[in-house]
Amino acid sequence: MERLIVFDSKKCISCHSCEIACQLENEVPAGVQLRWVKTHIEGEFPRSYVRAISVACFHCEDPSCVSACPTGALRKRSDGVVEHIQKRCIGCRYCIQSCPFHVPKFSPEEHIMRKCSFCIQRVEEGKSPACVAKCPTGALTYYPDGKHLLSSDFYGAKEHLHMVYRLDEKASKFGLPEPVPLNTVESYQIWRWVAGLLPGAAILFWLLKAEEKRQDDV
Amino acid sequence: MYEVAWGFLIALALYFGGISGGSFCFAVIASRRTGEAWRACAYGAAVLSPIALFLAVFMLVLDLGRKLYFWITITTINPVSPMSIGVWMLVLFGLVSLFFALCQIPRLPRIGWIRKLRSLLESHFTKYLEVIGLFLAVGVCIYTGVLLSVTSVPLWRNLFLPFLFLLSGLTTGFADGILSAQILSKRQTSEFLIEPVEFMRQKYRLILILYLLTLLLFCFWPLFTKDSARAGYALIGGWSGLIWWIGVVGIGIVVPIVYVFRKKVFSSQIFSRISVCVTIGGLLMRILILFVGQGAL
Repeated sequence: MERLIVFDSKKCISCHSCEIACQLENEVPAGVQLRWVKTHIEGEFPRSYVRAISVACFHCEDPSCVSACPTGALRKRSDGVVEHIQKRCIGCRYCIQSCPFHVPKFSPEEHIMRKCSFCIQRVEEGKSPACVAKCPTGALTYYPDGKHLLSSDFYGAKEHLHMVYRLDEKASKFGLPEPVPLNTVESYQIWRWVAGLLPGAAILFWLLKAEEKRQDDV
Repeated sequence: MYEVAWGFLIALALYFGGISGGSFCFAVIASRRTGEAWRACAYGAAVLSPIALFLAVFMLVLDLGRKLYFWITITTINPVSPMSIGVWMLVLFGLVSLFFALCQIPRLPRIGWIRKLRSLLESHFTKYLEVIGLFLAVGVCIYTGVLLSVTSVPLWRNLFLPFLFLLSGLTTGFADGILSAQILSKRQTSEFLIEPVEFMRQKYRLILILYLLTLLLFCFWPLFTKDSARAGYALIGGWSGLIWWIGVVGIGIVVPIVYVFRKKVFSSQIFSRISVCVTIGGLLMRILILFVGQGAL
């Protein structure tokens, strides 16, 4: 089973129902949002129109936040959902810095990170996530096992994200990064260690050798 | 614009971590040489290392949302998380640097088990402490750079960051190690440290030039990339640029370079000035990188 939420930008009327439903369902403190609607205005007045997308955790196939988390508070489930185990979260905020979509938010009231949970408590009962259930236009759709439905022109489909977008404009116009970012924590890390350790070892070797040579001379 | 998730406490933690690693390296170099001055340096730097490390860890814990749950990081290992690797390095390095400092203290208090532990360490484990400690010291300096450079923050996503943090840690650690030796030796005159000071002056010539080159590569590299160019300009331009060029590059590196290349007779006082310069430069560098990276400056 590969859970999936699809957003259709043509159907979104920017009513923010998804935001409110998410806040209520997940008991999110004021000032923190797990789902939010991003809007931008296209064209010049009077021929201008508002475009909007609903953004939350993308539940990446290979999530940077899971790789970054030092306490195992984030884990990838077999159904594709990136789960946040709140009791293990220490509020270090490394996931916030690692997420390429800037999705996780720090909750000062709870002292931990919060992000979309895919309303796992609802979907495991056979319901759809709160944001999908309350969307009045069908811009958000939930598929309990929907991988096969996707065509490659969906934003995030090729990268196997579990929150994908059917966009009628370029993704960058909606503020989404293009191309879809990969897990930088794992893919970059080995080179960073090498770039630090190798010259570091060379400098130490030089310092210690110089000191030995000097002692020999004495 | 990004959320400022990490502030001054993290900048201080990165900074103290660097001092801790750098001063341990200096303590090992000093401990392998003979003479009163070198012994004082080994003692001063070896004692400074665990103190700076404690401050670094204290800042890290203080910055957590749930401070009393910091122990979860020690009961968990995520081998692909630089933070998890770093926490384990800090724990191990804390132990090694404490044991090493114990071996370097000239007059131990008359407590039986401490003296027994020291004689045990000195008879069997000195070499191991040095080798493992050096590896961990370099690791502690580097891991903060690795941790930042794999994030999604454009300014931090820079290959030169780990080496830059290492060089900054070594320069500040070496200088503060000598400063600590001056303070702990309780001598009226600090001129007895002239031999280690002269040694460090020779070594600083290359290290500071390397530091300057790495710093320039770090700040100019993003300008040639598509994703990080804006962040690069934010760092080296405007008010933050002013602090960067005057504080980090000028006071932190160029002034010490001028001092170490001058042909005049060198003294411990001059080295103290270098210590202050690299200390200010290292701290400003971390603050700027952290805040400009998060879009706060």
